[in-house]
Amino acid sequence: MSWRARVRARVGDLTIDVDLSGGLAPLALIGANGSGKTTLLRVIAGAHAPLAGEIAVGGTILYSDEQAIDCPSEARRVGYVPQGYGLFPHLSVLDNVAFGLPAGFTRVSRAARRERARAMLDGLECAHLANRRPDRLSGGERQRVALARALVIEPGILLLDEPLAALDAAGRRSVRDFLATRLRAARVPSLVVTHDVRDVVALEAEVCVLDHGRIVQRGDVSALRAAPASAFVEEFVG
Amino acid sequence: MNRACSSPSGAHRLATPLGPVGFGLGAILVVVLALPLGALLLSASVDDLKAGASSPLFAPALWLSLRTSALSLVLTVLGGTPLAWWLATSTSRTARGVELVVDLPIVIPPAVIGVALLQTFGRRGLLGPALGGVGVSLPFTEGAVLLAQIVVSAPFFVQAAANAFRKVEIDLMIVARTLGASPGAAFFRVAVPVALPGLVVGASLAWARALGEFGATLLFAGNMPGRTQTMPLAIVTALESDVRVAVVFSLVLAALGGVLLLGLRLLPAAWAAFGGARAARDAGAGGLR
Repeated sequence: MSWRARVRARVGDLTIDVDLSGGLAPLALIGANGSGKTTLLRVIAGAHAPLAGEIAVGGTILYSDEQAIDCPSEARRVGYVPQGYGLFPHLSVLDNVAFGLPAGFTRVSRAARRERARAMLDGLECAHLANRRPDRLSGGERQRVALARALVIEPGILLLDEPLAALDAAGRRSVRDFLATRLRAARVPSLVVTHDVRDVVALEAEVCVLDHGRIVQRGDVSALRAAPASAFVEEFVG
Repeated sequence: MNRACSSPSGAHRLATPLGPVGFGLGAILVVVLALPLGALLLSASVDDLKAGASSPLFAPALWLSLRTSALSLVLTVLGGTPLAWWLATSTSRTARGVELVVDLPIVIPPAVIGVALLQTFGRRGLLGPALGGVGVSLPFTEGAVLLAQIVVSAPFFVQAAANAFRKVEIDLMIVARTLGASPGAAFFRVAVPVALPGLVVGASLAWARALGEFGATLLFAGNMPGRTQTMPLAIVTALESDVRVAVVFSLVLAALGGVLLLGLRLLPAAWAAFGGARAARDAGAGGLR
């Protein structure tokens, strides 16, 4: 399982020009506000069209200007978990998770669809939330449901935008450990935007530092500590 | 506990910043708003109701009003929903310009819209000769009633719908797409249901406006009993001969509006109940496995 995103994109006033790749180990994306972290995730998810480059996940080319490939979002099999989790407020937890599964047109296929969503919730220890509405969930519960919803489509890569930012300090540690365990168990490559070095340590992730749409440093936490490329990096690892 | 510092009840103190004068002015306005409706309600006896309902003007006008306002609402929603989505999501100058044009009929007096419609579709209007060439004459027909209603009411729906769509987070749409939904499926499975309360409010306002349409209809469609005479126009005609009949007609229109308003107020609660029912259904399905 490997992925690569070598893209140049322009969204609003920001130009992104990166060449990123990774395997099963999570890659943490850090950088100041406006450095292009969220935009990069959205480009990979297919929400913004790049100007040039190539995006490939697990051997499948999702975008390539040379080969004139531009796979639409719905066919990319990318698990996108936005900041705040983006749960559909009008659907129950179960329907949120089942959203990405093919629609059932018979009673049997509808039951099978629900069964699969339920099994995914069960695997993330939140089967008891199935009938709740997203507004009745805690931050940690929302994260689990969003993760279940993203994983149920068997994605080639997970894109997590600040998955721990919405949590209060008390619940944060247990949710962080849970997320780290689940990401390892899921055996899916992941790209995780974060502002907290503790997330990086818990996820055992490599770090990639983004600044004005460009990568200024990449390495594990100890390498960043040894030679921080900027004051921002120094403060992040410090 | 320091009693001097504790609030006497739960009410916060920002409620009456203008003191007794502000309160008095507000109370007067409430009376001005409510009194005429109360007088209307009190002025009709049971016999009046019978007389009004048996007036030859009543049934055709009510039926025409309900029929045309329902159809104008359907057409408004069909065209207004995609238009509102575009206005809500596009950042182009064209969109801002179109938004201004769509909002214009809200601030233009209905009588002016009636004249404008005549200048467009009338026999000597902009499109009149072309339409006449294919044997179509719109003014003073039921089609004219419909068109007048759409022009004055559609802006209310489009404006409310665009505001509702603006509140749909872009991330929800991106997530829906990554979960396999085509652009159309993401729109109907996420954007529309999330914005639905706002869409319903907009549709209700537009319907109420169409039902009450008077000025543009009078000028563009006329006031022909059985053909273009809607309820508001029938009230004027009835007033010329029998005030009691006009009162009854007015009560019927006011009741329709009242029911609509009540429905709008109850909508949020009904919405929550609907969500509850849905969750219960899923729970039931889970129990069957």
